[in-house]
Amino acid sequence: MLLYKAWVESRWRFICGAVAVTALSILFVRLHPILIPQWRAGLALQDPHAIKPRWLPLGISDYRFYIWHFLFDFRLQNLWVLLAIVLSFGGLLREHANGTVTFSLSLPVTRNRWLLSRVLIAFLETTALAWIPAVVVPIASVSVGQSYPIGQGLAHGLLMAGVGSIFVGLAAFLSLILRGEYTPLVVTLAMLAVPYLVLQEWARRVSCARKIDIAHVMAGAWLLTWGDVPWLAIAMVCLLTVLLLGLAARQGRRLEF
Amino acid sequence: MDTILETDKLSKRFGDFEAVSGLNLRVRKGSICAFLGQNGAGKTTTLRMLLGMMRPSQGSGHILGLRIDDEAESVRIRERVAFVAEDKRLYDYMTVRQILRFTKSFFPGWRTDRESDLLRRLDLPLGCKIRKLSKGMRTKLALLLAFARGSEFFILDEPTEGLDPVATEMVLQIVVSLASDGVTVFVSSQQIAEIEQIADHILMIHKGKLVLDSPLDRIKDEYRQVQAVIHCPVQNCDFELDGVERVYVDGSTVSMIVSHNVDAVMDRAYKMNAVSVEVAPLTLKEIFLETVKASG
Amino acid sequence: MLTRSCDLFPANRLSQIRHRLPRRILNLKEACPPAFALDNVVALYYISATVFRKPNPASGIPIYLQIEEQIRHAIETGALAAGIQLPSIRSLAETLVINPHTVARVYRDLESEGAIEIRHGLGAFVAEAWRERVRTDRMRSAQKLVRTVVRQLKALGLEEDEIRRLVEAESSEHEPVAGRR
Repeated sequence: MLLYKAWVESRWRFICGAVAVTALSILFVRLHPILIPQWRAGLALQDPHAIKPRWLPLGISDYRFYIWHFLFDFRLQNLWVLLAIVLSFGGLLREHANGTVTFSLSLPVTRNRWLLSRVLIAFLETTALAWIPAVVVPIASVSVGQSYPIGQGLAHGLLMAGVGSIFVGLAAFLSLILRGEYTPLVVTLAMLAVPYLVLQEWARRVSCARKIDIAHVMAGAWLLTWGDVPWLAIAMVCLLTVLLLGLAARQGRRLEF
Repeated sequence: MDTILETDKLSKRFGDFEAVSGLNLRVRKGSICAFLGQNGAGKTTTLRMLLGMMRPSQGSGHILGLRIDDEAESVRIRERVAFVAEDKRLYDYMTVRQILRFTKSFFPGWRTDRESDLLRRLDLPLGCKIRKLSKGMRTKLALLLAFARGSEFFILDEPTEGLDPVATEMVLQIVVSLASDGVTVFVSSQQIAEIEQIADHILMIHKGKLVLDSPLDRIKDEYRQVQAVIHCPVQNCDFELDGVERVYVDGSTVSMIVSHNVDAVMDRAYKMNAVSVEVAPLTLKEIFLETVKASG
Repeated sequence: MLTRSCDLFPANRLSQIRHRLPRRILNLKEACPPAFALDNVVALYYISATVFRKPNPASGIPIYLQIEEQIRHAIETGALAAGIQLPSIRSLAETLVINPHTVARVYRDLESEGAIEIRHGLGAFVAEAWRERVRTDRMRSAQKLVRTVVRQLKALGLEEDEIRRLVEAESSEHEPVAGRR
């Protein structure tokens, strides 16, 4: 029943997230037939002042690159990380802020079980969100006369959710450090600025920084075969996540209400 | 086992402030034991320590033979002890039905007969979301979630707070009915008149220390108000006897609150040529007020 | 009162103790809804017959004494006839909302007095011969008093006839105004 409670508590957040992810996926699929002619025309113009990103020719010629670039490397990833954090914050300190913690703590449940049940639901929800595009994009692609292999979507989704699990761990950890109903959420979101603004700027100039640029790792190669999946990176991130959760559990056991 | 709850020098300090110090509680099986004290006297802190929400700074406690400061044993305590906190807020987003199902899942000994009986008597709407319930109904629901667990020990913090007289009466009846089944109840309440009706043992805490620990019968038998009319001038120190808690001198009337040794006090009054000596009983509320005042 | 005490007690032992109850209770039971347990009816009956009033914790008299006095009074006046079953400890505790240990004490004290009998497994019953025993006790102490007085009067030199006339004159003059109990 703890899982049920964690699900009911995050249900609406998940549903809104699922709708947002679906809408975003469909949006970019539908944009394809509009953007491609524009880009082609732009290229043909050969305007020296026009901005021509390096990936443009590939973006025009390969649909799969297009999808990867706009979704898994860019907008969808941003959205997914935000959603992952929104789905993962909460817990006993939040219950303390809204007054229900004495009821929860009067139940015969260890602090570890409280944490684990919430984190498990968060993992399941974030993975589901990461795999929605794998289903939606192929179906929507038919309507624009393109095809996108489900395997690609699943692989990218797995990579995103696997590496992105660190955000789940981070949000869960901060939720047990910072008191208040929404403080952990705000702080975790603020911390997003580090990989997404600072590191990316730095990665643009220093190539080895790309390895620790989590956004880059989450995106992976544009054409991902199951052999290409960076299993080592996923394993390392998962280890970090487990560490974070271990710290969160220790903190949870020490808390006094 | 005759003692269901016992603490040994239980203490809790927050920085410089000693919220609870050296508490030695003992609650016997099958009794309705009242835990009285002013707000801020340390009652809530004590209850939280008993249930594993806070760790004691010093000392130890056992409920049903299990340690309160060990998490694994504390969970086993909570399987057999039902706690209703002062803050009776529940999960807003669940309905009454959902929270019943949720709570039931943790207690294999759940009494479905009691659940349906209480649902009807307390008139709680199953499909209603908890956020829509009034404060009184939430209290009733919180109590129901405890009473239906089939526990052998109940710890209730202000169970009748915010309830109308009819519901209050019902709750007291349920407590009495539980006690008839051999269940032990540890109840903390500011409604002293109600406590006086149903409790058989009184524990009083003041500024973190235990100031009274006695069966209610003995307190009611021994505490007396003694009023003597003495025409010669009297000072407080004239009545500094064992058992005299307080002395008020008002003209020729000397009023005393006596916790025991009433005969010796009466003798002293007569020795001082008292014209009349009257002995009257005290209510629990008066005894509480006096004990608190006397403890400073 | 009916609806208030409704459904308080789930047990139904009507068949076991039917023969012990006065007709009035059985008629009341017939008039009540079927789920209305017998224990409940018994307690109700006693409340409505004003045998048990809710004790006043603030009165200075300990609760157990108040209840004991109520029961004794009821037995003496005949409101509780000999052989009648008293409510169970649980029922009485719930009806009056007092601690069951207090009720247990009351029943124990009354049993040691001889006013009630506790039959294991069945409950508490008003003792058969208590009223008579109380009257007999009273008669016995009265007899002792009279014996002493008569002896004293004889020692003063009065004759038996004179003593009898004196006693009759006294008792007719000081008829108790409140009436006999």
